[in-house]
Order: sequence, then C-alpha cells, then structure tokens
Amino acid sequence: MIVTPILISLKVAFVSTLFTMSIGVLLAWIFTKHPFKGKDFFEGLIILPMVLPPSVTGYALLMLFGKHGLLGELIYKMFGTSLIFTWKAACVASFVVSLPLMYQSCKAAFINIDSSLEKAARTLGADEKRIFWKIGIPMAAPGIISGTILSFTRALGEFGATLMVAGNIPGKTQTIPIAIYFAVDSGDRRTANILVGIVVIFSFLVIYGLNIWNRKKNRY
Amino acid sequence: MLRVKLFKEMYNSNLDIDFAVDKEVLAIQGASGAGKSTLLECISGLQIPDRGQISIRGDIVYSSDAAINTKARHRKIGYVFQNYALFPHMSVKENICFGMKCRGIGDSEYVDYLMKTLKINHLEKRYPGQISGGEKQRVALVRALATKPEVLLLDEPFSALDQDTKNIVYEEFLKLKNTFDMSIILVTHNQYEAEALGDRILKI
Repeated sequence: MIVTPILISLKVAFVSTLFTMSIGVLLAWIFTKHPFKGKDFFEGLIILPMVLPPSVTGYALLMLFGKHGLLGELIYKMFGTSLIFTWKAACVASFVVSLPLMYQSCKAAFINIDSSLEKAARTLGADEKRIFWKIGIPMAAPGIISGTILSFTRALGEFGATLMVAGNIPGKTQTIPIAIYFAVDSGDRRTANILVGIVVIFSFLVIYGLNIWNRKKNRY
Repeated sequence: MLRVKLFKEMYNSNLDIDFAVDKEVLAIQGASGAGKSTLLECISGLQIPDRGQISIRGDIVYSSDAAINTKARHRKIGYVFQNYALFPHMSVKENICFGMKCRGIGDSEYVDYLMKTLKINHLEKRYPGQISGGEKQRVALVRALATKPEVLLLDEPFSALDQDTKNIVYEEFLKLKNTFDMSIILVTHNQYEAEALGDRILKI
C-alpha cells in the first residue's frame, strides 16, 4: 500500500526527468544562443505551466492527449492505445510542469558563459555542435545539474495535473501526492503521515544538499 | 597578405577602413570605442561588416558585392582576445590542442616547440585559474599559433599585465615576431606599445 505509490512516483519522476533534462538543455541552448523570430512566444509557452493553476495545465493536457485530442488521436492511430489514465500520462504531466524549472536553470547557466569563450572556439575552428558539447555543456554543468535535481523533486511532488490526466488507480497511476490526498480523504492518517514524512525528508535533503553543493561548486 | 576594405556602422561612430598587411606587424591604435575590436571581429568572421571586401592570401573571405561570408571557423586566423578567453574547464594543454583537434591537425612536435619557445611547457597540466596573467597571455598566443594561422590578430593582449610583466613580454614579442612568418595585427590604445611593437602604425 505504501511502497507502490513510492515506486510509481520514482518511475514517473525518473522517466520525466530524462526528457526534461535533454529537451530543457537543448531548448535553453537554442533560445539563448540562437535567438529567432517568435522566440519570446515559444519561451512563454514553456514557462506557462509554472504560473498556471495545475488544474488548468491538467485540463489542457487532457484536451491534447485525450482520445479525440490533437495528439491523443495521433497516438491512438499510431499505437492503438491512449496515454490518458496510464503512468505515461503522469510522466507527461510531470514533464510539462517541471520543464520550466529545467529551462530557467539552464538558460541562466548558458547566459553566464563568457561570450568570448564561444568566439575563441569559433576562431579555433569549432562548429556549433562542438561548441555545445565542449564549451556549453561543461561550463553550464552546475546549472544543468541543479535544474535536473529541482525537476526531479518537482516531478516527484506533482499532483494537480497528474490527477487530471492519470487519475487515481492504485498500483498503476497512484503516485505519492495522490496517495496522500486520498488517504487523508478516507481518514487513513497513518498512511498519509508516513508518505508525508518521506516526501518532506527527501525534499529537504535534496534542497539542503543542493545548497551545500552550490556553495562548493565554484571550481573555475 | 591580408587585404581589408570595409565599412561598418557602429553605435557612436562608423568604421571605414582600407589597409593591407603582408608578413609584418601592423599596430592599430585608437581610443576606446573607435572600433578596434569590431575591426578584428569583422576580419575573423565573428561580425559581419555592412559592406566591403576581406581577402587572405588572395582568397576572398568576405565580399558584400559577391555575397561571400566565410564562417569564422573556416578562416585561417589566429585570435588572441583581450581577456585571453582560455577555456577554464580545460588544462593548458587541452586549451592549446582544442583548435588543432577542430582543424584536424595532429602536429604534437609543433605544439611542444611552441610551448618551449614561449616557456610554458611546465604548465601543461595546470588550469587557467592556476596560472598568472603573463602565463595566460602566452597560453592564448600558443593556442592561436598552434592552428598554423595565416593571420594573427592580437586584441590588446598586453593590457591586463602589470608593467614589469609587460616589459618582459614586449621583448619576447619582438623576438617572436621574426620567428613566425605571418601577418600580425596588434590592436592597442597604448601609443608606446604601438611604436615599440609595430612595423607600421594605423590610427583609427
């Protein structure tokens, strides 16, 4: 009863963070280093879930990934299945709400890279791919790592949007925050207390560790 | 030979220049904001002039009329930046070999020769944060020379050094400029530096 939501939460957070990290880093690099027309519009779309009520994000995802939604219909035609009310839908919800954190963290890290380093790399014969991998990623590593950790913890704590698109199916889509909500709702204080304790201690340790690491990271 | 004829509009003034450099040190002197760094960035391909033509050994790398603009990475130009722009996460040796890897040059003997000539061979495992300003300047110079450029651009390379270090580096530069058979553009705001190190001076 208690272990299953923890395992589902970890699985969802891990998978969504993999996507958040790779897509967030790439988007932040492109938007920071190669500005294009309409950049502000797309940046607004990425950041939007951070300021929207989770129910609005969840409803939007439901419309998009539902059987008759734009992407949902496409997925159904291609794979003969729907994402809604599966753990994969919880991953999508976690990805959407944690992407702004990853994006902002990486953007700040990329902006802080001295532009003369990229210029020097260009005059030395480096192409954009090499500049990204050999200069951008190593120089922004602290920002990427802290963004990844924050995204993981955000994904672990995601509730509103996840409930709307993945529902509350014990053993399938019931994550820790959803299990806590329904445990409280049904008067199961013991389960709620244990899960709350685990989430609070884990989140605190992550933030505490991140603060210590941030203080020590300035190696250059 | 490097031939430059370009016009570029800037915030406070316009850069309108026409010159050639052929296996000599051309010192370009001008006040802050005169467009010295902009000129070097246009030559190296980091900025695009509004119009004009730039050629290196007869190959046109930029021409507004012919719509040619060779990317910075394909121009055989060595560039030493004012702040040296050494990659802080790479060792001195990794910094020097970066350009060689990009250009597919594998001449380790030449790197050893350069490092010995500029007396930095003992620094190869150190990181830029662990060496002095004068050493950083030499590492940046070796990094630029290691790719065997046809033109070397030096953007105020001595401005961050204290006077004692400057005097030593000036002497070394004068010895070195005859060793390397290439056109060198030295940008400086310092009148003495321009006169002491340049074969010719161009004021902008």
